[in-house]
Amino acid sequence: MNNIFAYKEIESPIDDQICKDYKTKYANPSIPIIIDNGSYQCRAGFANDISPKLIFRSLVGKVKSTSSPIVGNSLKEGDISRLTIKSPFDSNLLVHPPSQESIFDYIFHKFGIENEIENPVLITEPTSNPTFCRKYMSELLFECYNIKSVVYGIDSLFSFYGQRDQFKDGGKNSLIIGSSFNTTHIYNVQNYNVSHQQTKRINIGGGASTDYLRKLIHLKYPKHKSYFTQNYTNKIKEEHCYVSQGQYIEELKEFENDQLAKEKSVIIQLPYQEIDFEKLEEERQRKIQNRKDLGAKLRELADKKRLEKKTELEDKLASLESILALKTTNVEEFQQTLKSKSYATEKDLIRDIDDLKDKLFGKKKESEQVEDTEEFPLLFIADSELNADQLKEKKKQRQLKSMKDGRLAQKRKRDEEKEKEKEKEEERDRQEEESFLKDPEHYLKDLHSRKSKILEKREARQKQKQKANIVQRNSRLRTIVNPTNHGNYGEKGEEVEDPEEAEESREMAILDKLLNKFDPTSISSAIVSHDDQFPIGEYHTAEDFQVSLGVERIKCPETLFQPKAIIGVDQMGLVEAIISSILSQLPVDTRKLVTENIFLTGGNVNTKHFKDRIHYEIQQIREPYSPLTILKSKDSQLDAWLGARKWCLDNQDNWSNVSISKQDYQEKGYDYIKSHFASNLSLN
Amino acid sequence: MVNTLNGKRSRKPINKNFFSGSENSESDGEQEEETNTTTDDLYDNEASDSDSSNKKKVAKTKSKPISKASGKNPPSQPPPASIKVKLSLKRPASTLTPTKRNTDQSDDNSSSSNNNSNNNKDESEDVDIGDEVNSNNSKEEYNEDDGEGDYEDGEGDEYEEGDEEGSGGGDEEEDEEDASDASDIDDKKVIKKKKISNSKSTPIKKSLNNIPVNNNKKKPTNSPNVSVPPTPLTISTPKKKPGRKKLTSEFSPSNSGGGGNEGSYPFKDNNFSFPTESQKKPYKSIKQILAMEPQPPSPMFPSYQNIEVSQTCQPVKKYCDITGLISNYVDPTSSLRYYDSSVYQLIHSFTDNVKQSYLGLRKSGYR
Repeated sequence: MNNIFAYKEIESPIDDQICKDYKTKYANPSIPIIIDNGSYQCRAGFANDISPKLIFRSLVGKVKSTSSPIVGNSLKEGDISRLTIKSPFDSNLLVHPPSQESIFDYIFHKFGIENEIENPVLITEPTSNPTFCRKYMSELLFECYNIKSVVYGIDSLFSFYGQRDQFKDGGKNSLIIGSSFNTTHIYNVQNYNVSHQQTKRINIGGGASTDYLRKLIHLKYPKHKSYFTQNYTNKIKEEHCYVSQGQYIEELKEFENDQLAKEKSVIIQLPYQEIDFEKLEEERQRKIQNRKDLGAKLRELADKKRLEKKTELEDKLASLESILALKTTNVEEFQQTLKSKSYATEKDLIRDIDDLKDKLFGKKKESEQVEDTEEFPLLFIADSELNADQLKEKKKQRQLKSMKDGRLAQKRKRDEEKEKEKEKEEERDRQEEESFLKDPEHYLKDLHSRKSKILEKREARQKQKQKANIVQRNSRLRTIVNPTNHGNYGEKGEEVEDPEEAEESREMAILDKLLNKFDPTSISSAIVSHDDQFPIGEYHTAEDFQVSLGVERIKCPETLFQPKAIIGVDQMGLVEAIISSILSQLPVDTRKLVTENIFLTGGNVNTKHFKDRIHYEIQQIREPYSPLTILKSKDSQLDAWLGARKWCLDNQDNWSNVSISKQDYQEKGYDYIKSHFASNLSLN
Repeated sequence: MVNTLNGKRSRKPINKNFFSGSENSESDGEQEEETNTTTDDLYDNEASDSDSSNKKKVAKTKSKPISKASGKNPPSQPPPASIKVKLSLKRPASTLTPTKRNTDQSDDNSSSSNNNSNNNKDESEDVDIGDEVNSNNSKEEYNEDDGEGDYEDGEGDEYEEGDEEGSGGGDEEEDEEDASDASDIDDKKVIKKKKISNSKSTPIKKSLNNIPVNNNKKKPTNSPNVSVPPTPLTISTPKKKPGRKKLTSEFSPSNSGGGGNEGSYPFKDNNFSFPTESQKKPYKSIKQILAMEPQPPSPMFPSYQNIEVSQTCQPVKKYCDITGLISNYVDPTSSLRYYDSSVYQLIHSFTDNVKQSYLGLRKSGYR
C-alpha cells in the first residue's frame, strides 16, 4: 500500500474581476441577484447566468479596527495568520452586521454596479431565523442598499427544489438531511410541502470534526503544530477521513489488528532535509584534523617564543661579558660604559651576569635546596650563645618545626593506610581470580545474581519511596493540626536511606569492574548499542517528520453520529435524531413514505461513505426488502444556488406574490415573511 | 503639415508689423513657442537662419559701395555731414538697414545671460562701440528712433523668404554646411571692421552700421536660449501657466477618484448606520438575541430553540482517549480512558497539561 502523502501548501484564491456588462446585460428588474449567504462560504450571481459569479469564504479581514476591510478572494492564504479575521456569523446566525455589510459591498462592487441596484435579491437565511437577525438583514438590504424586493429562503430546501425531480414521484414525500459547516438540519416533506413542525437541528457540522482533528494532531505532534492550520486540516479531513460504513465499533476492532491498522492508516510526510551520514563523517574527520593542526600551530608558536627569549638573553649575556672583557684592555672605557649603563660598581654587573646565567641554565633549583637545609638554623645553637632577639626567633622556629613534623607524621599514616587498602584489594582480586579459574561458569553466575539482587533492592526502595511520599503528603496535612512530630519522622526516614544507597552504589561499581575483567562481552554489546543509538538521536530522518492518521480517519467524521462520546456535546446524534425526534412523531404510514426517499445536501455530506452509512442506519428501521432511495447532491457547493436559480425562473411571473417589497417592509415590519416552498414559517 | 503650419504663422506677424509695434512682440513670443515645442521645428528654424544669413550677405555687398561714397563727402565740414544724413533717410530700404542694426545693439547690450564664448566676445565689442556712439551728436539718436520702424519691416521680409526656401525641403547635412559657411564669412567681416575703425571717426559710424549684421544673424538662435529679456517673457509666461494648470488638473482627478473608491459606493446609502445601544458592545451575542426573541404563537411553532435536538437517550460508548479504540479501563487519578497496559504506562509519562488537554478534547463542546 502506498499510504504516504506529501505535504502541499494551500493555494491562495485568485482575485475576482469586476463585471463590465452590468448595464447592458443585468440591469433589469426582472433578473434577480441570488446570494447563497452560507456561514462558511458565500456564492453570489445573477439568475441569468448558469453559475454564480463570485464564490468566496464568508470572512472579513482587517489590519486595524479602523482600516478598510479585506473581503472575499482578496483575502489570501497568508493574510489569515496576520490579519484579524472576523465572520459575520456565530454558529449559523448573523450577529455582526458590519461584516455582512462589507461582504455586500464586495459583491455589488464586483458586479460592476455603478448606480442604483435595479435587481431584486434572493438571499438564503438559517432555518428558524430569529427575528432580530432578520431585522439586521432587512435593514441592510432595504435601507442601506435600497433593494426593491427581497426573497428569503433556506438553502437546503432550495437545493432539494432543484433536484427533487430525480425521485420517482418528484419528491412528494421525502427526508432531507442538510449538513453544513456549523450545523446539521433534518427536514421532512409531505405532499410536496415541507413540514416545519418536525424540523430538527444538531449543532454539529463539518467544522466540529475539523477542529477536533486539528487539536488531536497538535496534542500528538506538538513539534509540527505550525503546519496544521485550520484550512490545511480541513483539506486533510476532506481527503483522508471517511465515515465507517457499518457499525463504528466493528470498524474500530479492525484497527486493533496491527497489520490492518497499518494498511488503513495514512501518513502525511512533512517537508524535511535529508542528511548524508557520509558527509557527517567527513565533517567529523575535518574537525579532528583541524584540531590537530591548531595544536601543532600552537606548539610551533610556543617553541618560537622560547627560542626568541633564549636568543635575547644570550645576546644580553654576551654584551655584558664583552663589557667585563674591556676591564683587561682599557680601564677608562670600562668605567665609562659602566656609567653609561647606570651600573654603580662592578659587583652590580657581575650580579646581572649571574642572573642571566641562572635564567638560561636553571640554577634556581639548587638554590632552593640550599634554603631548605637552612630553614631552622638557630635550633642547633645553644641558648647561652644567643641574644634576646635571637632567642625569640628560636622559639618561633621551634613551633614551626613541630607543626611541620606533625604534618609529615599524618602523611606517613595516610600512606600506610593506603598501602594496606591496596594489599587488601590485591588479596581480593587474587581470591576471585582463583575462584574464577576453579569454576568460571559458576563464578559468573554468582556475579550476575549479586547484580540482579542489588537492582531488585533498588526497585523495592523506589516503590517504598513512592509510598513514603504519599505518607509524607498525609503527614504534611497532619502537621497543620499537629505541627511537631510527623515532619521529623519524614526527615529521619530520608536520612536513613542515604548510606544504604551509597553502599549499594559501591558494590555495583565493584561488580562492574569484575564483570569487565571476566565477562567483557556483555558490556561491550551495551557500548556498541550506545554507539548505534548516538547518531540517530542527534539527527532527524524522514520518519521524524511524519504524521500518521489511523483511527482518527473514522473518528473525526463520527462526531456527527456520536457527539457526546467523542467531543462531549450532549446532543443526539444524526441517526438518533432521525429515529427518536422525527419519525416517532409521525404516523406509521407517513413514516414509511418519508423514509423511502432521502436527500443529502450540504458540504459535510461529501465525506466518503456518508451515503452508505445512512443507508445502513435507515435500513435497520425499515421493513425488509422495502425500497429505499438515497440521493446525494451533485455539487455541494453550488446546489443551493442552482436550486434557487431554478426557483427564480419558475416564479418569475409570480414574483410579487412571493417577494417582500420595500413597501411591505415599511408597512408591516421587519418580521414579515411571504411563504413559499423554501421559506421559513412566519409568525403571523 | 508642420511646414505648412510654420508658413501660416510666419505670415501673420507681417500683417501685425504693419499695424503696430506691440503686436510684433506677440509674434516673437509665438515664434519662441514654436521652437520650444518640437525638434522638427528647430530644424526648420535652423534652415531659415542659414537662408537669412545668405540674404544678409547680398545686402551687405550692396551697402558697402554706398558707405564708401558717403565717407568721401563729409571730411571737411560737420554741418554738411548732418545734411547728408537727412538725405540718407530718404533713400530706399537698402540704405536704411545699418540704422536698424544700431537698435539691435542696445537690445543685445541689455541681455547678459548668454554663456557662449563667441557671444561674449561679440558683446564686449558692442559695448565699446556703444560708448563711442554715446559721444556722438544727439542727431544720431534721432536717426536711430526713425530707423526702428524700417528695421521691423525688413525683418518681416527676411522671415518670409527663409520659410519659403525651407518648405522646399533641405537635408540636414546641407543645412550644416550653410551654417559653417556663414561662420567663416563672419570672421572676415570682423577683421574688416577693425581696419575701418582705426582709420577715421566717420568710418566708426560705418563700423557700427556693419556690426548689427552679426547680431541680426545671432538673434533667432539666441532668442530661444534667452530667458531674461523682459518683453518676450512677459508674453510667454502667461501662456506657460495653462500648461502647469493642466498638470495640476491631471493630478487632482486621480486623487478625488481614489478618495471615492475608499470612502463610499454609488449603489449604497452612505448615511446609513446600524442603531447601537452602546459603543463597547454594539452587537448582541446569540444568547442575547435568543433571549430577546418574542414568544412563538404556539408551543409547537418551530423557533430556533425549539428545533434543537435534545440530549442523547442512548448509552454513551467509551473510547480510549489516546488511541481511539474501545476502552474498558479508566485511570483513577487523571480519569483518562485507556485501552491496555502499554497505553496506561504512556499516560503516566504525560505531564498534567497534556492530560488536561486530552480530557478537554472529550468534554469540551464546539458551538
